Amino acid sequence: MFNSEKIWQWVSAITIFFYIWWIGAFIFQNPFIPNPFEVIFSSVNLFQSGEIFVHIWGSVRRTVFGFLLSLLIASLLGYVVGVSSFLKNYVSPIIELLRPIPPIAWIPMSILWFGIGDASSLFIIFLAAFFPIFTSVSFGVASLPEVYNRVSIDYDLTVYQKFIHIIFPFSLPYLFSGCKVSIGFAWMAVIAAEMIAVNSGLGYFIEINRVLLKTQYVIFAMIVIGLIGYVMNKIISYLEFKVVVWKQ
Amino acid sequence: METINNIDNILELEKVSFSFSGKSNENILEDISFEVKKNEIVGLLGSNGCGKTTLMNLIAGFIFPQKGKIKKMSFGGNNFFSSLVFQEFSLLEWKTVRDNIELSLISFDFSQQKKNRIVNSMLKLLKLEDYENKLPKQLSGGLKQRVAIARALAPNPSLLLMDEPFSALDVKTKEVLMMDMRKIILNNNESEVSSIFITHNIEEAIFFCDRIVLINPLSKGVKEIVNVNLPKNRQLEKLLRSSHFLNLNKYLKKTLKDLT
Repeated sequence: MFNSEKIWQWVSAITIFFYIWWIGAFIFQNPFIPNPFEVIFSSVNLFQSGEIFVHIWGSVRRTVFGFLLSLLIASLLGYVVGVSSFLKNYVSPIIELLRPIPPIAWIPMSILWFGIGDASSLFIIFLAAFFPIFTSVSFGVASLPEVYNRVSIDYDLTVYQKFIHIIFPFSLPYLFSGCKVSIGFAWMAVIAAEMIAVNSGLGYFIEINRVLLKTQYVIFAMIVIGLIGYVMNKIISYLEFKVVVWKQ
Repeated sequence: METINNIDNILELEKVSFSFSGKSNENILEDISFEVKKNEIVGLLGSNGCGKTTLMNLIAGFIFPQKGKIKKMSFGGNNFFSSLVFQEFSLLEWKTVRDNIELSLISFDFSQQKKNRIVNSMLKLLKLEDYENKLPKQLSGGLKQRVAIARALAPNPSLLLMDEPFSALDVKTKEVLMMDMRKIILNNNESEVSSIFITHNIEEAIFFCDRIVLINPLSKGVKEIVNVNLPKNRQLEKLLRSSHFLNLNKYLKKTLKDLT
């Protein structure tokens, strides 16, 4: 998965990035632009106190739960709509109307409906993760080659057998594509939701430290968000690599 | 299922007409009549777009004729059962060779042991034993089509429908597979399989079939049914040099040309 050349490219790119950042902070001399060393040193306190772990866990827990809920419902609906052109005609207009609404736009309503807390942030994450999975799965199922339909008719497969042996495996690459986009959206949505709708998590941590003008903490939390988002995407890519072996 | 007229036949088509719109003036096929005997390979020969694949879909039961009858007969105590080998590679790319073959047995109430036994015999018959755990992407075009044929033969069909199964293969692979397939279909001691073979290639039709049904793209019906009159066991190299083959080839070419 990783070779020495790739590691070297990564290290070089990050070093250059930090160097540019350090020069920028030096030139501007602005208290709101901390240099990389301030950010790294300040993070030691956060690790020592364990505070950052509480917030990381809060955000990851919400994201994973909201993502899994979305995966379940969006994929189920995606399969049903992908198979039935009748249902597709009725569901598609609703989906097409709801899809362009950014998840953040739902935050005020979610607070009114679910109050401040996990429920409202889960609702936002669910919405953010829903559409990529639904769209990918329904498109994947609808694009099943006609020859596979004829194979299932020729061998007298039941609807269940056709789903298990043909539709589900065929749709897996599409499902994983949707999941990769979805987990990124969910992660972005959780941070936004936590800034407003809950009292814990990395989003909340960023917001509270903005108010306290602790910009080095804000930037450190942003780096952590980037790293966790990257790891989540890699986990799904790894699962795809292990499951969708016929596409490797 | 309609009663068949002649007990030597496995399939009889009587004045079958079909149009996708359902209107008789838009017929793709009109008054098609021919029969397939037990243990016989019948070729459907015609230019591209003359309705050969539609005719095969009618026989397979994917679509139904607006007019005429398709009579199917069972023998040996089994119900009529047809199986298809498609023009394009139709293997499930996520299943191994063994699992792809077993797919055709899923709807049968067989024990897993029996399924394994059938799959093993198919692997042997089609010379696929070394590839049973490979995925389709790891196979050549010829091997893929062997797997598709093994899958179609596994449920022991009464009629094997082959829609240009060799069209995606190179010449050498095609020759070897055609020779093997004729032997397998006609020398299968366990059952009597008949076959309908669709092609637009005249040489393929002569080598592979016992009789050839020429489809007329103008009248959308059967132009002529030609008896190939060649021995059951055929050697391609010898056949290509024989005067009978050359004359038949010339005749079919001329007839097809006159029809277009």
